[in-house]
Amino acid sequence: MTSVAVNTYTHSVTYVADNILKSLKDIIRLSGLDPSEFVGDWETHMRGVQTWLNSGDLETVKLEIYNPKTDALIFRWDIDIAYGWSGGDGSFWTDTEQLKYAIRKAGLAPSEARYRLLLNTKQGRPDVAGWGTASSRSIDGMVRQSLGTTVEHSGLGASTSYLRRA
Amino acid sequence: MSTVASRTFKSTPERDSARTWTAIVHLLTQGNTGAARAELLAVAGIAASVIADQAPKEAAIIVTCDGPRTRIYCLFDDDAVEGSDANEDALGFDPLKGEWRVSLPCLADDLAWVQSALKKQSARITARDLDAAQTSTDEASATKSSTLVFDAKGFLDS
Repeated sequence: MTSVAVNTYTHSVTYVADNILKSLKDIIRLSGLDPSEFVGDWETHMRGVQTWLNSGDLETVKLEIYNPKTDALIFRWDIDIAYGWSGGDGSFWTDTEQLKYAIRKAGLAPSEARYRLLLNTKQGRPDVAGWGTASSRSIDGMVRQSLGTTVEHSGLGASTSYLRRA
Repeated sequence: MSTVASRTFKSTPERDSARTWTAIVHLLTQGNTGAARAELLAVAGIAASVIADQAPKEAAIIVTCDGPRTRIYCLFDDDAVEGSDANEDALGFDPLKGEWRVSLPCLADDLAWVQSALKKQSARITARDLDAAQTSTDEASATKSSTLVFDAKGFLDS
């Protein structure tokens, strides 16, 4: 019997959502911080990312790494979503090496640094349990470095960049 | 001689890593609620992270107890979608009988924080280096174990 794998939009959403969370976990660890707080909320994170990827409302996933004393940003990692899903037998693409190289280049965060996950969505998105509205920290004086596409399946993709102090 | 049962679960993109762990917990607890299920679900985020790293693709999640040992693998990408190598059938024994332990395979770079995070949640659920553990457990199982595969026809005929 010959079997043919059929990729659906749900598969793409699951793949991209899982690998966005994996990438964020890697960013936290490679920045010298403990990912356990992040993975402790894995299901809540997954619920938000998956729901709003499914509805097409998720625009950007942001990881703020900040100084808890001054509340100022140290780094911010942005993962922008590209909705170009085309179906078919898409290949699975996650570029962990590029991410590792960029994190080494960005440098370690101080050990006392904290982090927070934010999801930017379109207006009118459905509510998701565990998620409420919040404001981003100021990015004044920061410069952006882009990595390009780091996760992609069948045209549903995620492009990563980071902001650091100039 | 110990016996070993093996199961293989479809993971990303057929189901996300958190749902994969929930399915594995369902297999191990045989659908029962109770302390074991609560302890396994308490580490859901850590286990999901390990699964998202595809650690259980080649190295098994190893479950030991007073009965047979259970080895659980996960399928990813096209293999998960196609699914012909999956075997998520219920086990014919209690895989958490008596003094049970679960060992999660883990990427070497993540081992320190995963072990530390697990220790805060459970004394029974631990992590091991994916590469180091694979060699030793394979040697051990090659000399001491026989692998069981569920024989549905034989079971129904008996």
